[in-house]
Amino acid sequence: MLNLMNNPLKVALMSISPHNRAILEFFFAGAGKKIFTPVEAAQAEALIIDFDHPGGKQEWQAQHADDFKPAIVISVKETMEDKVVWVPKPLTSKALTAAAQTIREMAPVAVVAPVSAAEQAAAPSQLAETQAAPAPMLPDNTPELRPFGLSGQQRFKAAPPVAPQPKCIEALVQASESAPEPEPSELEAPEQHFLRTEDVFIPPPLEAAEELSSADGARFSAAEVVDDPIKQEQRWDSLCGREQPISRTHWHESEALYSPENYLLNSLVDALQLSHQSKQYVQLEINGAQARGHVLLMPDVNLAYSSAALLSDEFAAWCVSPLKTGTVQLHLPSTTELAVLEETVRRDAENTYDMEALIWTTSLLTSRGRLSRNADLTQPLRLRHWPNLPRLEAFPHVMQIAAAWQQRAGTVFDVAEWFDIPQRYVIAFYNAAHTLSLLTVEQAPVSPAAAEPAAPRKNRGLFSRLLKRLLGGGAK
Amino acid sequence: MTTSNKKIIFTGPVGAGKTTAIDAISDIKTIKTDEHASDMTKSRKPQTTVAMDYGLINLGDDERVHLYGTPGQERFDFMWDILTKGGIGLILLLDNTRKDPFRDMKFYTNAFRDFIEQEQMVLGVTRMDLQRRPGLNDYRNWLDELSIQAPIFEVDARSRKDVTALVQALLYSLDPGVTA
Repeated sequence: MLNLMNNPLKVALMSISPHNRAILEFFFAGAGKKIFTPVEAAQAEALIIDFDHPGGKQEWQAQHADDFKPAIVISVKETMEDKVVWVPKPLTSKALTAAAQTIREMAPVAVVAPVSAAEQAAAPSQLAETQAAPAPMLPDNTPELRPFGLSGQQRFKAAPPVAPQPKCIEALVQASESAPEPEPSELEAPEQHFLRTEDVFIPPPLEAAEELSSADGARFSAAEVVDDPIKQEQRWDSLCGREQPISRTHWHESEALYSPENYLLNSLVDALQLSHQSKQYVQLEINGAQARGHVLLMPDVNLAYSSAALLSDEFAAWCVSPLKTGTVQLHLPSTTELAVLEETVRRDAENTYDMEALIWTTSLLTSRGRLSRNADLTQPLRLRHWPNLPRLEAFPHVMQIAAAWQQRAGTVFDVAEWFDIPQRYVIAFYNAAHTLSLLTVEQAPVSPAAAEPAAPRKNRGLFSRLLKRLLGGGAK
Repeated sequence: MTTSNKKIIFTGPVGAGKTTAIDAISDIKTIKTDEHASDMTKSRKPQTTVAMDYGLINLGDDERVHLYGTPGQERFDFMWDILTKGGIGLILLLDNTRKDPFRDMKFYTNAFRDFIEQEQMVLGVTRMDLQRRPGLNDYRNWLDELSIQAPIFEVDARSRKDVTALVQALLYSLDPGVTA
């Protein structure tokens, strides 16, 4: 039996429906990482084509049927063609693994070039590049836009292409890499490895599906929070705090300061950076006396799984309590571990979230309207990009703050004063947007006039009435 | 007494959800000009808008906001200039399952460039639940490449809440001092 584990099959994805493409990407980045390596068509040993997708069969017949490359054809109906291995829908990891094996057996072993470690590491990115040029959420290539970080130590400013990993991470990575590779048969898990469409994108809308626990332990839904003004106020307090306004001149003496290095948030940002750099899934294991659980970051699909629901008291406790050193460990799961995690994520799909939503909420719960001890509030900032607000937890004035900060550079204090917004909401936005690297220091000098409140613009009255009409419901 | 009429324009490629989005927030039953698709469109949906969609938000007896959806096919682009007259902003919907959403973004932002410069645009990316790539960060980078500053959200065109968020972002971008 040929060993696919040390020599993944180089495949190119041709015409494939979006659903099945997503399923394959999910599989290639996870349990199938050591079995398939996605590449461009010219480098591929085999092609993967969806015969049910409009134009798929025609593309195969017109362009590839004669170029001696075997193909894995996915379709509902069986296909009997030369050099073709049929994989029936719905796709399973078992069938895909078997197809790879069959393709290998078709081709002479000598012509199969081994895949280097570098190629393997680059595989997910190659796959991504066939569709778009993805940008990392935090460690992107615009260092000048990142003159401060969570710890205020310019952590991303001079980041090399692959930043040195913290020692604990490095040890775990080495441990993971040095672990004996499982035999292919271990991966050929039977039918329970069904990769269904719903496994690929499963984050439920926060307001519809989440549950959280109230102080007395009763569980209620996020929709109830929105409907119940008291519960909504409580949630906003958890996210934005109830701190008194901080003085513009003496903010560094305020009691409302915290050290982000002591919290889960810091580890989460490290994990995010690691997952983007390594293009691999990263797991955070939380093993504290009180807090226990894990978070899995899936960079290829920009999703995150948390063993505690994002709106639960348990998750809030993870964020709010300072953690002792060593409580949180980062881990690159092996192929075998990924298969288990995949199963966990599938079983507990409700706890899978958009990555940005997880980081946004973690940042808010951690800071609770307080400022990082390392922040520099003297520099005028500007919003580079809006957060994905419909998918994030909202709090008062969040849209107004985003709009104001994208149009004018200013400090936290400026934004609060321009529109008479309670400072804690501006600080909350600052903390979360900063963690997501959406803010940048304004390089151009800010004129004194820019610090003045903005003059009313045309149609303000109409806009206010339209907003009230849309937000208040009405006749629709 | 004069009647105040303002427009919000919804645009984007075929199947991005323009008609559905207008339907989600309109006070009236959306007036549609759908016909059976006879071209490449039919691979994405059986019927498509050939003239425009029209919805309305009533703010009072003498004040209303009209919602116009452009036809998605590029051959109808001669209508777009007419539709934008008197508009307060543009909502561009992009379908994440299409072959090249960046090309779509470039095409529509170029087609409406003058209007965007004079007014404001917001972007909604639909069908991200069906296809996760490209991600929102890709769209943000593409906007940077085109030197456009605009809010961009993942949305479900069927959701009133999501479409409302797009309109909210449009209004706050036009005037951050507006209050609800």
